[in-house]
Amino acid sequence: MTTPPPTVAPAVPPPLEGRRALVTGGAQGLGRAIVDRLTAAGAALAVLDRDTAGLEAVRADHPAVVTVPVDLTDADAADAAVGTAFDALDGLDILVNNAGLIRNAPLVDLLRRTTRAERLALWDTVIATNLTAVHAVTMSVAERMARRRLKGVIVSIGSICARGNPGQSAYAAAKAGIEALTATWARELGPLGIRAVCVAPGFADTPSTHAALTGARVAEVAGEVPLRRLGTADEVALAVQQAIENGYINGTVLRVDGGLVM
Amino acid sequence: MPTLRSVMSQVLRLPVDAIDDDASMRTLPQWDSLKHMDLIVSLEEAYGLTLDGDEIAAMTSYGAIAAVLRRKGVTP
Ligand SMILES: NC(=O)c1ccc[n+]([C@@H]2O[C@H](COP(=O)([O-])OP(=O)(O)OC[C@H]3O[C@@H](n4cnc5c(N)ncnc54)[C@H](O)[C@@H]3O)[C@@H](O)[C@H]2O)c1
Repeated sequence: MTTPPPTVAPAVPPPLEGRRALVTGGAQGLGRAIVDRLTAAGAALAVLDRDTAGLEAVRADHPAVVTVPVDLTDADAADAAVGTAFDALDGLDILVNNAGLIRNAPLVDLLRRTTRAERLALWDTVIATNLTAVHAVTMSVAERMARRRLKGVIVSIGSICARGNPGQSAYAAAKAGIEALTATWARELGPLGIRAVCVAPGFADTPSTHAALTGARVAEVAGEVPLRRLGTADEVALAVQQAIENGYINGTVLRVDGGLVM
Repeated sequence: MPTLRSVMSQVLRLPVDAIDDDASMRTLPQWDSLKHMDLIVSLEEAYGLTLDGDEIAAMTSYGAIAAVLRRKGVTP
């Protein structure tokens, strides 16, 4: 009896093969999960982050990924970094605005643990990182894409806190701003074939969540989620991939929150 | 008049016996700066008194709150 020849599955190309993506804040947390997922999906990647050690770890796992250390709140440095990434990949089709800071400060601090000046400075830092830098980086990327007539998508990571979350004036305002930018860019860039999508996570099981909330509060939050658990970083990354792959999702907010309503 | 423990347990959403004599913002993670505002307002309503800025900033433990209340003639 002859053994049948082994069946060979027809080769399916990875879904993002040939696409070029820039991910900000990809050195750790959700950004790192997005980097892992998009490279696995076949995309060529560049990562911008100010965490040089984290960038080295990315390159150790993905030697082909282009990494550029930069503080994105410096608009000129960010523009130069975008230029480096754009040239290294010979163009960009995808931008993932993920870099962000999660910081809390009450509007009124009856405990006097912070000064008014400290709370105002925190506002500036959070808005600079989570809103102003996103605007600047997107400008740098979109200009280059438009000049080369490249079509693609801008995915920005928002948050369900955009609906308001006590103790997070700056963060909530910045994330609401991300939703407004997404709606604006969808209309402005749509005619160029560039889409804009906001992916808004609820609470993901990341080091940043555990740093921002006490263990008891994490358990409390998980209990408030209808699914009774935090999301995983890869579930957020999967939503980013889906927003990239589906060419008709535009100008909208994709919530990845387990059903939690703020 | 409600006891201090019962006011605190309601605001912090903890069983009354979780508020022991050593309870403080350090020992109870639920008691954060936002809950503290709730707590102050609840104490003022429960005991019909007004707390000033120094008192509010100092009331970070069960013992410290009890001391302020006693000074104001309230038995916690
Ligand atoms: N973790 C969550 O549960 C959660 C929920 C909702 C939204 N988000 C959003 O997801 C994004 C990622 O969050 P995360 O939890 O992974 O945070 P994180 O702090 O773990 O990672 C953020 C990354 O961005 C980088 N970064 C921050 N500021 C930068 C700057 N000025 N220049 C260059 N790089 C900078 C950091 O170095 C880091 O690598 C953020 O936009 C955050 O607001 C996170």
